Amino acid sequence: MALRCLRLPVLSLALVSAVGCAGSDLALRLGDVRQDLALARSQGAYRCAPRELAAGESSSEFAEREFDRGEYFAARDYLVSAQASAKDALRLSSDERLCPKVQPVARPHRPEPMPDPLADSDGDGIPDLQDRCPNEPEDKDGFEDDDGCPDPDNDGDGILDVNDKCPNEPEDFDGFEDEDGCPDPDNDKDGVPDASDRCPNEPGPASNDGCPVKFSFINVTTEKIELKQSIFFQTAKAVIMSKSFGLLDEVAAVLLGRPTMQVRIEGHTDSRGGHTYNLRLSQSRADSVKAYLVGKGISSDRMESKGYGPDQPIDSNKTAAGRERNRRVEFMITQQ
Amino acid sequence: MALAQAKADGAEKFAPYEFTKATLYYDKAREDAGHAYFQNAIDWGRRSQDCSARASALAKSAQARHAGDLPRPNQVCGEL
Repeated sequence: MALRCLRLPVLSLALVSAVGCAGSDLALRLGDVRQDLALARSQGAYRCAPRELAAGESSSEFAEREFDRGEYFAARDYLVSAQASAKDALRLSSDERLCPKVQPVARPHRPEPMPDPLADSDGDGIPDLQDRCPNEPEDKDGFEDDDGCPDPDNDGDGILDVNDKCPNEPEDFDGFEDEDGCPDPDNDKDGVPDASDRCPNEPGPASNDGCPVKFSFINVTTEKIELKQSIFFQTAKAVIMSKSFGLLDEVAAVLLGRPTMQVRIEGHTDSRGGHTYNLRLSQSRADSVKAYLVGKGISSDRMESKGYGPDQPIDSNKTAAGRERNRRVEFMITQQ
Repeated sequence: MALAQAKADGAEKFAPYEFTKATLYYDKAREDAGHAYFQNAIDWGRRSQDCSARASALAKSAQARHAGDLPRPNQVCGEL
């Protein structure tokens, strides 16, 4: 009986010892299974043996949990299951035929993204794809506006468009009004182009190579044809006296030499007599002068005749000399 | 239920790793619940849910792009 009592604690101790040894062994084997599973995963088991890998990983987790809880037998069962799954996963993933190595998949060539066909960086309304200057807005001044590039000096004459009265016509730089940016092919506007005008800045007929004809009775300015003497009429009539024909012939010569020139023939009287009478007389005398010039070949369209009567005196009507000055005919240039 | 949904989404075929894990976690949750290990059962249940959700998503994605064109990289699930 005493021997029996002695055997029981010895057997219990041996059992505890055996379980303790089995626990250590279990932990080691669990570590091995995990290594196998990691290896299988690295060989492509996720792709080639997904169920085996999943079963192995799950079983090893369950084994660990059971082991922690002291359920050694349950832990051992799960471990056995994990080992089997790991073995299958390793086998399937290591066989080149069952699990060919995946070559890195060549990414399909992606073409460069197409630029936005509507992009307009400079906001000038011309899409960048068609804009030669995508970062400089077109100035849209009617000159080459389709290329998208601004043209600060359209005619390239060195005068910026903002200061150029003729931005699309280059200045001719001939010393005559060169600052305005406009070419002046006929500076004196006498109808003779500067290139063939011996006097480009003085109006003159082509018959005199563009140089002014020296007149005896008149002087041509930019505003009027000045008369060096009066035009004489018969008293109280509109009949031109013959001694004024020479003067009027010179006026006709000027108009013939400058075909674009237009004039207003103004008739004036002094203040003696009735206003209406004077008005009518001055109109009749202006008409007479116009008729004379028409007779010399000047188109009537280029001349306007108007009587002002005594309304625009240039001197006093109280003296004989003043009244004589007020009785006059003037040729005002209305178009060069 | 997430696992049933995953199965309905075709996860068994298109996400076998995730679906297998979801199933095993689910079974383990039921087993532990039967042994009154409720805390463990809840833990396995959550892992099963996680794997089921991933399995569903992968299955839908794979079907949407005609599965198998490009291999999927290694993935995991249930690591809560």
